[in-house]
Amino acid sequence: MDKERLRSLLRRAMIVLLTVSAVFLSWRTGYFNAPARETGSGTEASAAEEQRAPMPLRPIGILATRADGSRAAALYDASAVDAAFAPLAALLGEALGTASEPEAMSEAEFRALLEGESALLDLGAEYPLKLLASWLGAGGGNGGAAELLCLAGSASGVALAYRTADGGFFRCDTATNRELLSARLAELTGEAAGLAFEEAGLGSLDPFLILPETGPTAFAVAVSPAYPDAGALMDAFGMNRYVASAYRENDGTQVYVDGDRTLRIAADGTVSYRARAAEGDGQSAIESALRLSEAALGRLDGDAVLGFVRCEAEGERETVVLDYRVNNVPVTLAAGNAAVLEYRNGALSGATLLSRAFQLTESDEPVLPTRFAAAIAAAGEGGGLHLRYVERSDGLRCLWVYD
Amino acid sequence: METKKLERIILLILVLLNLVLLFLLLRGRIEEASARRARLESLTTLLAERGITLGPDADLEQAGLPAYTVQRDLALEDQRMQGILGAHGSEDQGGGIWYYHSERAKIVMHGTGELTILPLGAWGQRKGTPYEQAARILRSAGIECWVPPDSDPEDWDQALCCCWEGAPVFNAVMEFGFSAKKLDVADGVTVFNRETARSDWTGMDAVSLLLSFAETVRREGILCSRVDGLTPGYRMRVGLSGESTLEPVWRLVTDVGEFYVSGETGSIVTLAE
Repeated sequence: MDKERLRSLLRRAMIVLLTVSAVFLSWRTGYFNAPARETGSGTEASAAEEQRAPMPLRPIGILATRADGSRAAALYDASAVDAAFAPLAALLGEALGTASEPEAMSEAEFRALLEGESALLDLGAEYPLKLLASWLGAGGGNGGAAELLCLAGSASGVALAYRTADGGFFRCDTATNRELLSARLAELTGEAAGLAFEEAGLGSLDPFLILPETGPTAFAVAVSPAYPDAGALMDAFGMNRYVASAYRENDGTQVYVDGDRTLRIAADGTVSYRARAAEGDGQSAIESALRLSEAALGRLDGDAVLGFVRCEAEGERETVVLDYRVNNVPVTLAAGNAAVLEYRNGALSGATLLSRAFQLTESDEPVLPTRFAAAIAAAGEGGGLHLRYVERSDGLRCLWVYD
Repeated sequence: METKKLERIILLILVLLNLVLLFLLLRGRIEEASARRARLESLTTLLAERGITLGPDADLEQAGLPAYTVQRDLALEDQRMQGILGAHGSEDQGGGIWYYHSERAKIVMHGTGELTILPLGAWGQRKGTPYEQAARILRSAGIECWVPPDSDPEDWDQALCCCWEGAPVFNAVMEFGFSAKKLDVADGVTVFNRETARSDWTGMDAVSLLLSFAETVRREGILCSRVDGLTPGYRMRVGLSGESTLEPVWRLVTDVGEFYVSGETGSIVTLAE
């Protein structure tokens, strides 16, 4: 090899070395690094995994009674309830998943459980226990349903007790460790509170109404109609947006038709969907309704989320009703429920959605303290007492509602 | 000739580029070292003002740890059980509770992280100090463990912290109880086995942590005069069944006791929070 060729080879080798060195030095200085991203397969979950991911559960209220008799409660306020629920979630899931066959119990026995070491959860609606167990990451669960749940220390460990919407009380033994329940209850923070049945003069109210010493605090909320994105709606309902035919009716309603599915979006944002029912996908109607409504309306909600209200079953038909919640306070719209979804044999056959956008303001919304409201309700007809944002002609007002 | 000229120009550009990058790198290192010296001086001054000294074992070079989200992976869990039990059977008891069994032992694992090991027959009687026996059982399941430096390896009641990525998870403690030199039962909480997310931020390092602690001592009137040691680790918080977050937490050993300080906020925390 002659000298010139050797020099050329050396120059090229140096070019390669210096290029590699430049890349290495660039990386070490950090000036040219791409933004780091989260690792782990959890951030790359497939659409199917997202479909099956546990739904977040947020009770309306939680009351913990510790071994020393002290109490901690969280009611309505989303961050307070989330903080109170976090130590209990896995434990509740385990209790639901390992619950024995339910045995009927009396209201007096249920009350007795709450006087000892216990956690009372007001779910705000009646949920199937199997669904709750799956949402909390545990399998199993019995075929019952509950609007009030109680985890209580018992002689045999931890008992799960619950009240159904029609006022029945049931109790199950669980495999949950009592020491763990005690530890979790000790972790809970919140304000002191009592229950209606423990207070004089409140006998006509729901005996398990949680009564904090102070509060609640509520923020003023502005609500406005929100016109939904047709493409997102069609995706949520499984329609093919590229082949659906579209036309506008005289009243301004936009209509989309894809085979046997029809989607109508009114000028005020009301969405109506009809379909000839196909086969279900194996999800429960409640879970399907929550996921679908979130997909259809979620981006427009603003500061609201959709919460489960009730499920009415009649033969092969099920109707799931949802309402908006702002800061964990349910919203009652003048036009009706936020979402009503009809299922036949597990498949969606119809839906009506009210599309609204909510915005929390920084102003406080004056609300009667819970105990005052309870005293007024008890002096009247009694019954249940619930905090609601109610839509009136002058906007949303946070009010106590009696039923 | 043209090629030769081009190669020389490219070489010149690359040499200049390397020199500039090297300069930037060295400047960055010098600035880091200078900032570190300044922080150490601030720390020394602040601690002196608070009347706090640092023991010889207080390592100020330790870096912070990132937060993790971890999940229970049943397949990996079965592999762990294989390490402890050998060939074994398993049963789903519902509610996230799994029961594993072999002729060596019975094991129950909960979705809350609780783990119970009940040895059978002669398997509970093994060689070594109680600490060595306990650590060996955990290591056979792929779980590294940690004990405080002042713990007694000959104590027949051992409490070992499970580790994540080599750092102790202070509230994931397995307690091993021996009687007549034989393991009776091992009971406690372990860390779930699959990482699903990791934060980019690594939390406070040792110097930042001590600066924050010095401020806390002043504000809360804690009568601390010496920090003997500090260990970075985690506090585990179980959310849903089979899911937990690992938050960076430092264990500080002082002359008035041990404190656990959040590596994210610098505030004193309890492990049960």
